Amino acid sequence: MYEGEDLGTLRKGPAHYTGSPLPGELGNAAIAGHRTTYGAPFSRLDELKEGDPIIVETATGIHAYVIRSPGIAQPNRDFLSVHETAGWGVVRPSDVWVVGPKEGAWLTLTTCNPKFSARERLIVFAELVASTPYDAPQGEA
Amino acid sequence: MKNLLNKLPGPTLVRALLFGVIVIIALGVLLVVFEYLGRFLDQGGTLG
Repeated sequence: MYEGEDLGTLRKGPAHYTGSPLPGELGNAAIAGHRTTYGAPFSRLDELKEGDPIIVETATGIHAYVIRSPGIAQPNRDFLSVHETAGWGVVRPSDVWVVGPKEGAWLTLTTCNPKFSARERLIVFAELVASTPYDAPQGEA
Repeated sequence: MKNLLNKLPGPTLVRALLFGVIVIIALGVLLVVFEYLGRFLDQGGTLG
């Protein structure tokens, strides 16, 4: 994962939105990734389902997230379409609220949708359920 | 690829050099097209 969501950074791999918290921190940690080019790290994001785990390892520790349905993660927002059981939703590219501040500790993954089009954005929301800092004593979470 | 190499004019060494130049140009064109299309077909999924 690289810092900064500019096109140059995204060519290298998934990019953390500057200004959003880092994974494991409180708030909405947002990460963007290509769907069809530059290694397509988020090519299969649409295969993720509600309840699937996402494990993120950072310099500070290992953070476990669980995918929540868009209706639970963002209940008062308008989606172009919501795939409740699949655990992802579709929004417009201008819907910046997706990566905005949020209560709790969340991970938001964004990519282009549908494949080979930049017309929409596919969004996956995941909630932090466990975090193990590297400096914590063994067994403590 | 072998057919293209055989269709090029000149002795073997010249044909091999021409073939190399053609391959380099083709790769360059491919890279430009890839970059150009990528900006329209896959913007990296960013919002805003």
